Amino acid sequence: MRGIPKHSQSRSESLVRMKSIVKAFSGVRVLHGVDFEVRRGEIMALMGENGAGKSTLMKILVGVYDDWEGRISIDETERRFTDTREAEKAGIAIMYQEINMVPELTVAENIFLGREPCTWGGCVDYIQMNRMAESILADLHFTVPVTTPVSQLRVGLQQLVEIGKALSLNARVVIMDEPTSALSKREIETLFSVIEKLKSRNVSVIYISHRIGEVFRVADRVTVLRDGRTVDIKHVEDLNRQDLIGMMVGRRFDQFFVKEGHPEDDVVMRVEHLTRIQPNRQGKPLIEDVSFELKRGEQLGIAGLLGAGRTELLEALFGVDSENTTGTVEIEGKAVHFSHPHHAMDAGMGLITEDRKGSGLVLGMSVEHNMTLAALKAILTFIFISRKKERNLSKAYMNRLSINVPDLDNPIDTLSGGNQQKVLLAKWLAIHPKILLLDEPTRGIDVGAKHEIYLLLSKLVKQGISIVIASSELTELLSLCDRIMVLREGKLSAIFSRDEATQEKIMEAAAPVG
Amino acid sequence: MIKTRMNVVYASNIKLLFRRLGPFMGLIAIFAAGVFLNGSTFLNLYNQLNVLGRISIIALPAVGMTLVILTAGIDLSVGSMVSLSSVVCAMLLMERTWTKATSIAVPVFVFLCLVIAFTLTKRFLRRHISNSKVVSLFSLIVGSSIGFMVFLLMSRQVATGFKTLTVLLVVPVLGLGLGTLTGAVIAKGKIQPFIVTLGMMSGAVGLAKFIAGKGGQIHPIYYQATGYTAEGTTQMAPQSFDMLSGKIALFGMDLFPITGLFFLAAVLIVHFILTRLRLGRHIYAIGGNELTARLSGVRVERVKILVYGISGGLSALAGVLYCASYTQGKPDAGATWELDAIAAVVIGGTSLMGGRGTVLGTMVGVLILGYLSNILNLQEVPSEVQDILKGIIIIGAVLLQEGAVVRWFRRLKK
Amino acid sequence: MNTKIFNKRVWIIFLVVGFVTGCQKTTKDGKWIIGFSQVTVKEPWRVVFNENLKARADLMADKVDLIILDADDKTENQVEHIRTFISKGVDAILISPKEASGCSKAIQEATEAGIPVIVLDRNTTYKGYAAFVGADNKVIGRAAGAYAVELLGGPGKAKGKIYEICGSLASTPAQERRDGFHEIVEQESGITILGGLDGDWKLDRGKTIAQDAFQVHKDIDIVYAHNDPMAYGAYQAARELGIHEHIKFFGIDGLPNEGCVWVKNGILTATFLYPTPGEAGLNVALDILERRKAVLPGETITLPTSTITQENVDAFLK
Repeated sequence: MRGIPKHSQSRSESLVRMKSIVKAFSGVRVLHGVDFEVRRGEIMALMGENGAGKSTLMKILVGVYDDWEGRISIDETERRFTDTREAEKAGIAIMYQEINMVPELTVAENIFLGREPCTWGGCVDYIQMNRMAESILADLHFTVPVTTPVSQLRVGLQQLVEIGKALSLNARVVIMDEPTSALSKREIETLFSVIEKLKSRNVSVIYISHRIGEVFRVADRVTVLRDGRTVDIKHVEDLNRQDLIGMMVGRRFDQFFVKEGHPEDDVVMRVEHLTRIQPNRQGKPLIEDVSFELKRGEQLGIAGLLGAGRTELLEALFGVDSENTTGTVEIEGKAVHFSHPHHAMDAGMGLITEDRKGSGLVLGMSVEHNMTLAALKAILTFIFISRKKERNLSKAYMNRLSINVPDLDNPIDTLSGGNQQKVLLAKWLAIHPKILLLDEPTRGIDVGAKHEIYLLLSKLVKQGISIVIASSELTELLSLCDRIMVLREGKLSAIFSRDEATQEKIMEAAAPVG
Repeated sequence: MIKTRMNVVYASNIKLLFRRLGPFMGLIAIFAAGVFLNGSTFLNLYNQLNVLGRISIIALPAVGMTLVILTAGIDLSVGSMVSLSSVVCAMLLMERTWTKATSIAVPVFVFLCLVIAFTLTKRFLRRHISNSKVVSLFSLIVGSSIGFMVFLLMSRQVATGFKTLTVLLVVPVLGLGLGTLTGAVIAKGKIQPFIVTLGMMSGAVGLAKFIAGKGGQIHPIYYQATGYTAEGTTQMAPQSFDMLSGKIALFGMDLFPITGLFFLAAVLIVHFILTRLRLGRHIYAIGGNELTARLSGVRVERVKILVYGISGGLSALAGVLYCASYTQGKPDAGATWELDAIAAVVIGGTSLMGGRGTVLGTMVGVLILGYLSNILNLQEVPSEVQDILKGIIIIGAVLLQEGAVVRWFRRLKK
Repeated sequence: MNTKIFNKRVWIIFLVVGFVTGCQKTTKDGKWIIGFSQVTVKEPWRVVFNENLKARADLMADKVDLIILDADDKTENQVEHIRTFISKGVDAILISPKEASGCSKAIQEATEAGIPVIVLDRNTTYKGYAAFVGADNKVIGRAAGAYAVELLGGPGKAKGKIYEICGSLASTPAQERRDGFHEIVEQESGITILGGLDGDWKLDRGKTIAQDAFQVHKDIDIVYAHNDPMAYGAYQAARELGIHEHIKFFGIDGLPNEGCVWVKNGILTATFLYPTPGEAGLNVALDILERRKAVLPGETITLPTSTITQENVDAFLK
């Protein structure tokens, strides 16, 4: 495994220095005084769990946000960018995880978007533009003609175009956010040689990735963030894989919630060889050959990185996108095939999605109507909806879940996030499910409401309901679950029992190899 | 009803106020304007019944349109459906042989009867017999025989000219069938409603012209009685059909137009569906957030197909009423009616984005537009000016409902 | 919300005042109020129609109050016009309907409400009206047919091809102009009549139909259009192809500022007078109202026609 020569003892000057960066969104702090530094010609890896604050920090650096505290210095001069143009001019370029180009325009046009060279008359000088593009891309081993529309290029080549764009802006720092997630092995090698080239030109690279192996190959130093704080900055040679993982997750595990109850012995759901391919039939499958069991009264957690397939797995179980899903699912011994969510509901399954506003609630409807939407069958008199039964049901759940609403007819968007989540919970409890699937159930909720929901879930499992929770909060999974399964790039990587699970082990199982 | 408890919700309540009560206030305002401008000419029974009778015909597509718009869709084909069904209706009543009209109307109706008989038999038998093959076979036999019987009954009417009740059944069913087809293409083909209904709009008119013959001729209705003679022909439509254009009379006084009865019935039934049936909740959910609806177990495709079917059926019924009121069927009978239907729905407070609105609001919207045109007619305002005023009212109504006017006022206050 | 909107008392007073002032009086100063619904003013013939009628009404301004409404070529509007007239309690209604069947019910309503309805120019399916006034379009058609036969060689020996452009076939005039023409011309075995498409009385439609016709048929002798504008449109089409010298154009209407001018300039070979029935209709209405005439439902009053050619056109150019 050929690596890149390191500047381990170099005395390079600091190019970018960020000190005590604090950022909050709607009053909730996500960065608590982060320090970050990149030297000239250095390749700095930036690592941390989901939600550690990496993207936010980089967005501040490139000028996307302008309401933050702290200091940023470029070349020892203090700067404060008000927009991305300014940051670009200062030599900071970013390659987002999603390709940020106009698909119908050519390679050259995308590189010079907004800065097209013009002739005297004011028309775009295509000859000039194409020539300039070619010379920039020549160094990057880019052989495709610059007049090709970007949409026809593979992701790997598109990334090279983005790098070309950055170079054309005379960038001195290039930020790469998960650059290899969509690349083939060969393209990754090309990317590494390009990074090497950049380094030889004294261009710094900030390399954000979860792939520990790559970090070890490419980076000089690595900064690890955790929960919005800088854990440490170390030279890569001084670390090994375990150290790195420990840095990323090693928080004090205050189990502020004590779990009660044990799962019973009989299996309520058995999943075998569940595979779900992408809708366009291209690329890697979203879930590949996942098999597991769910016992009655069990709380099973699903851990994994962004894009590992947690949400896709829950959706597949619920009958969403059944045309692209294969495998067998048995519920209480009977084989089932859900082609539509309502089949799953009839079998006693419910799904609380991770985006409550986007796919969990109907924002225009009242609290009450949202609560009864899935359970309309239960409030009928003959075929009519009984207002009385509906009111009784909603009142009952309001009390049971301690939802604080002055008026049940208020539109649901007047409620707080925590209350909305409780309404969602009530909605699915109303169908008396046997199996409840939850995707990020406590995202964006204050601590108090979180605790209430944990208590509720405990009560449910005691009644014999089985719960599957997908979450990116490791502490949550460790507090609640009897077992935790870990997904890695669509495949089942590990299943830990409650006793043996630790944050490090989960992280290790979740992080991509290589 | 509208609560103004906290200052925070004041804003949304103003909007709610305008949205819920706004149309109604608008109706009162326009009614008052009518009284003010035209006095007893406006207020007298003859005029009121006239307006009511006339708007009841356009109101039916508007009611159907409400359902479609509530699911965040749109149906541009309602006008063409009215035209097509007016032609089919006229031909069914007047012709005495198998024509293109009967060739399309009879099969659709027979097919529907077959499907209904089949489904009902299947449901009934499934409870008692377990072998599903036997159940299906038996239901197919029952369905086909009933379908065949219906076909025989209808064939007899082809030779004698259709009866009024038959036409009232067969033509709306044709509209229901075409609407269901539209809905299926939208729901299963996942194509935008605008495009599909635009295509149906064009197709239905073409079909109407084709069925009418000679590039789209008019088919007049003749009756035996009172001066409606047809030169050279002896075929007449049943006198009972003329009743559809008339009024209910008591003690020698006209009381209520028959078309108004259809209007009222449609409004009440749809209102009932929206407020008391699961289907209504599903419709609101689909319009509010289709993804959530699907993930909550709503069979989105089925509801959409049904909604477009209802829209087609109501439009076809309007075509029958048109035929009675204007004693003719022609391929441009309902031209531009879709715009009036959409206008009525919007004025009535339903949002074009879906998920919000009531059919009572549409009823008010229809009344407002009807009174507007009536007042302007009584004032002898030329029709171009009427169209301009109509446009102003539509835009004004939407602005008020979306709170734009209120925001503007508040900004002025500051 | 205690805004002024709901202040009931103000509203009631407002309404009462409005009501009283707004009531329409039925007979203004003892004059007869007559309402006229014209189908459209998009055709030049109808513009003259309205002008002639208005002129006649102005002459009798001391005893007649004429309301002219334009229906913008829509049947529904005409029905509303009639209902408006009934609401206002007019004394008589004149109407030139768009379609034979569309206004029938409304005319029936008016008649049953005791208001005499005089139908002008186009006939309706309901025959219970007070009177129908119009030229006999069959007679006109026959006259056109006779003249065509004469130009093509005379009765018994006529040879040639005639291309026909019809008016709106939904209306009786077009049907009658076609039927009358065919009645005469079809007796000649040597003449073929082609065409028969619906030009809806409009010049641009006539031109479009003629353009396509000239592509298909290369040796047309006469173009017979049901009105002058359509004939002129056909002439324009022929002119663009350079074949206008070889074809004779027949129109109908004979308006002094239009068809007659075209005859004089040699564009049209002949036109046939279709007198505007407005004045005659008004006279009939007054006759009925002033009780000089009994109402015989379905009565038809026919206006005479003339053949207008180069020879006699000056008499018609006023």
